[in-house]
Amino acid sequence: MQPDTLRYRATHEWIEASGAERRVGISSFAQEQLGDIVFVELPTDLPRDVAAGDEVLVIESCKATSSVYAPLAGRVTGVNQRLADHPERINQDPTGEGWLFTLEVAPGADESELLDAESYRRLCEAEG
Amino acid sequence: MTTPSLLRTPLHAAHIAAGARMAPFAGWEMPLHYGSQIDEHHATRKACGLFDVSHMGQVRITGCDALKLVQAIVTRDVAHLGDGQSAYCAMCNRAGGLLDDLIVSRLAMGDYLLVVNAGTYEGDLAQMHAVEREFGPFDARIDGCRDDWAMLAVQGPEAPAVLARVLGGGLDPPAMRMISVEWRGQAFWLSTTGYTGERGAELIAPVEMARDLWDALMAAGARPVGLAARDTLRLEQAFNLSGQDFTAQNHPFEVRLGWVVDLDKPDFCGREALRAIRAGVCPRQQCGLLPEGRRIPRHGARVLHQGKQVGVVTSGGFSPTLGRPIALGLLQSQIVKSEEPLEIDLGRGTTVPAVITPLPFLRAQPL
Repeated sequence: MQPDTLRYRATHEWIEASGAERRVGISSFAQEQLGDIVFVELPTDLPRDVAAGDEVLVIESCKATSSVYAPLAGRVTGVNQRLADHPERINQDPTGEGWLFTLEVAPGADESELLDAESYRRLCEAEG
Repeated sequence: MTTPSLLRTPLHAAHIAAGARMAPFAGWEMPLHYGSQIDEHHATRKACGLFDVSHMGQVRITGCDALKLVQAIVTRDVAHLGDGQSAYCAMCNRAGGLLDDLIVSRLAMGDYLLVVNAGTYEGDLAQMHAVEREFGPFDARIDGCRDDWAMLAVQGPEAPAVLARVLGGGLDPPAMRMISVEWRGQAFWLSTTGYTGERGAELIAPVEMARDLWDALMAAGARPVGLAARDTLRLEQAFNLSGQDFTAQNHPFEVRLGWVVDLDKPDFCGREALRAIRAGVCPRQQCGLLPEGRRIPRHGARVLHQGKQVGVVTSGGFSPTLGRPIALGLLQSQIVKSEEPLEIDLGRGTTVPAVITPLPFLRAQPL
């Protein structure tokens, strides 16, 4: 179920596999674990430079509060403003309409920690 | 996610068939939701929700002295209960600490059914036996019988119609009644109680009837609702959750349960302590909190006044009906009176302003 054009972080973010400016979101597995998402605290201080693993935003679901981290070093350049009124899009289409923010990946950013779809699927199975 | 040691209700297979996400709760493997807890919440407020609450514990107290023993166990005077009548009650330890809240129903003279919470069932039973020894002797028996019973809650404005479709018409008792109903040749208990503030009933039925009843109620238009929505439904009504909004460290007065303490009834466990507490100053009290914005305070979040802790959130969540976060907090009484601005600590350096609000968050529908 995890699209092949995406790479994944062990903390359940996805990022587009290529391009200078790439979309980031949370995986289908992650949204399922969270249950109904009711709020996304979108950052307003953009652009913002981040290191891999920095917290970029917070998602509130009925069940829990979760941080979303930068999968790679770079610059957060934009957010999905439609989530302000429709956070449920993350549940409905986590790897499409429910994307969270765009990241301009730093030149030479270390992508070796990212997982391909198959490795990520195995990780989810182990956790699920 | 699931551990083999978790208990399963007689409706486990029905939950799996309905696509439930199962989760551990109080030692039971229970349905958390069937897809969307928010949809399930709205379905209960607007139409009719069906809940498996078979994890709740039943205790039967019978005998010539059954009333005397029940009176010694609970803080509320239940002498006035007639056959088929129920009362919301609390039970306390000797120090006046809240062990549990429960529903006491008189099935017949000398025959009482107590419904207690899942997580406190064993402890409650032990307490009941301790009270029996201490306040007795009684000519009465205490039977923990949760394994004999399934329990289904049918809740919502359309619940009476759904129940009528399954059980036949003419069954619309007022709230807080327990009546015996016959269905397909077998008897079960219909109790007009619940944990949502909506109309409806809880059905206490023999285990072997559970699946047929569940299927019939589904076919009659009820929609399955999991524990996650059950929690937001009760929180909107500011109903306490045993073990979370209160523990044995709390007395009834500070969590808005003073109305179930009848100090002048015959002796009961905790009476002297509760009398002393009632006579003194109550340093803490439960309040409703409305946090600003849409971040959700969770159980255990600190409540601050000018940077100093003045209380704690005992339950926090997103209210689907109000479309905003709500929280129950246990706060210093002085702060509550002062109406000073408060903040809730969400962790990692983030706080949100919050105001105290009258309870319940949602006005209960007349039952």
